[in-house]
Amino acid sequence: MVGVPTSMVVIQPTGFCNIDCVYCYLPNRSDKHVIALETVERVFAELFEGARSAPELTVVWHAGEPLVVSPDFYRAAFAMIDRLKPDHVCVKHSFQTNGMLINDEWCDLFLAHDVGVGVSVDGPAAIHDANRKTRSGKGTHAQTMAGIAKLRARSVPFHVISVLSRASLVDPQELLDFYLDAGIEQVCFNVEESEGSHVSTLFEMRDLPEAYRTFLTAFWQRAQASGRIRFVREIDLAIGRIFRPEEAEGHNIQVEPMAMLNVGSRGEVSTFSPEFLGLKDERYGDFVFGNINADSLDTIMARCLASPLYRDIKAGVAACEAECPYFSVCGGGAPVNKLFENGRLDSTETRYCTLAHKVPTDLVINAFDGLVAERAQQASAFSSQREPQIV
Amino acid sequence: MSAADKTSKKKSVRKSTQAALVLSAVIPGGIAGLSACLSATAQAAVAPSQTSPAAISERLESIRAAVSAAQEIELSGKTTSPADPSVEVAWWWRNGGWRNGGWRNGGWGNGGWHNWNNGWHNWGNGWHNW
Repeated sequence: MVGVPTSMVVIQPTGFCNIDCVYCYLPNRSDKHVIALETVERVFAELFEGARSAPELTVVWHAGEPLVVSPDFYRAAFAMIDRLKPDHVCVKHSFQTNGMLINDEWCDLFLAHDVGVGVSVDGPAAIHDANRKTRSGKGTHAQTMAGIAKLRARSVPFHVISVLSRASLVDPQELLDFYLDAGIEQVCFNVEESEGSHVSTLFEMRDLPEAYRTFLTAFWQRAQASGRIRFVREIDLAIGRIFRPEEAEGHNIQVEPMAMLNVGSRGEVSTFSPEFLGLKDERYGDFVFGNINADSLDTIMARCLASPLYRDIKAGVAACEAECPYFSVCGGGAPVNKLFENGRLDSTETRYCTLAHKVPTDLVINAFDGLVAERAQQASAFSSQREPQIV
Repeated sequence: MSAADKTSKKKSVRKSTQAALVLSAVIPGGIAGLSACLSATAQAAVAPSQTSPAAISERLESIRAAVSAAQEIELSGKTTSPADPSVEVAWWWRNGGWRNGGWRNGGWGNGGWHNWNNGWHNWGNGWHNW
């Protein structure tokens, strides 16, 4: 097998979404086509028969609202994947959903299959409803919160992803209060980005990194002080990337061919950043390397390796490695952000890099320096207290 | 080596030993434990423009050297002995009740460093971290 194994499959069960968020990057969110079970079967048969899967494989059902497809579809898909998988491979299914359709039947499915559930909610109603709207322009907060309440009532573990806007960035306490009131314990932040046809207004803010740093510091401290937030992705993942033994290797699966396999609802296969699927660019076409209904993964991989897309992503990673002191916590960034922010894949730093990697890394390193200094001071005070008193 | 260089080297070795000792005490708590400790000393971090690129690379390298050293301390069990004056900081700290996980039984060996980006930012991707 060439390259690193596939550790994440992002499958678009349907491109359709029941809502129409202002910042959405998906171009085909009105397309109601649903992926065929035969297509799903082809993906996993190829993946497992070709021994391409990593021992832990995350399957994310996303890129459209996954819950508009019936629970029966997933029950059948999960059973089929389970039949196909080798014993040594552990498959974890995950949904990223707007939460509006969650009911008891969905909770039964989540619990029965230990599904990872991520709910997209941006905060209190005023913040959430400013961007997350129905097609008729109405807010979706109430329905999302009803879904979260159902998850809590049924003890289904979940995390939330909140897109940060100008309004939420300035008030970390308001956001924290919202999570605490809603019983949300695991949070992830995405700063509104420029991707596809969406141009982020937030990225125009000149002092965005400083504003984000201030936000994240305050949120982290207050969340820890509350004792009720168990996971803040931006901090916890930064800690894992920074505090690793010297010999531990890292992989950035967004820049390794086929480390992430991204499958569209009609079987089209892409790799690297999942957001590429469905987008078009005059240099790289539709970012698709084949269709799983007609092509083997070996063929798709060969096309990928020979593509200008891979060539330019590789050049961008090499440039990052040569120039950027944060390379060891990042591994070359997110290609989709390089393309849509810098206009080139063979470029280096993006605003996304600054926010997703640099700010949390600086914050954690700075905190660690403070911790070491504080403990040294305490040890010194402790030692001097134990010294015999001269009378 | 000049006297100034010797003093500087001594300071650097001392700092990195302190870092390893602190880490040997907190790493058993896993990522959640370390996050809890670090949040107390977090402040609006030094902006990247104010820190040289070389300094950031060096800091990351020295932290990882300290993690490796801490791993050795942890595996040798030294930090459990309060009689060893060289690990006084770690011993004192551990007795404060930080130990609630473990290298092999917490959030570290089971997720964390082996995937840089750890996936993709439109997925929380935390399922194997807790």
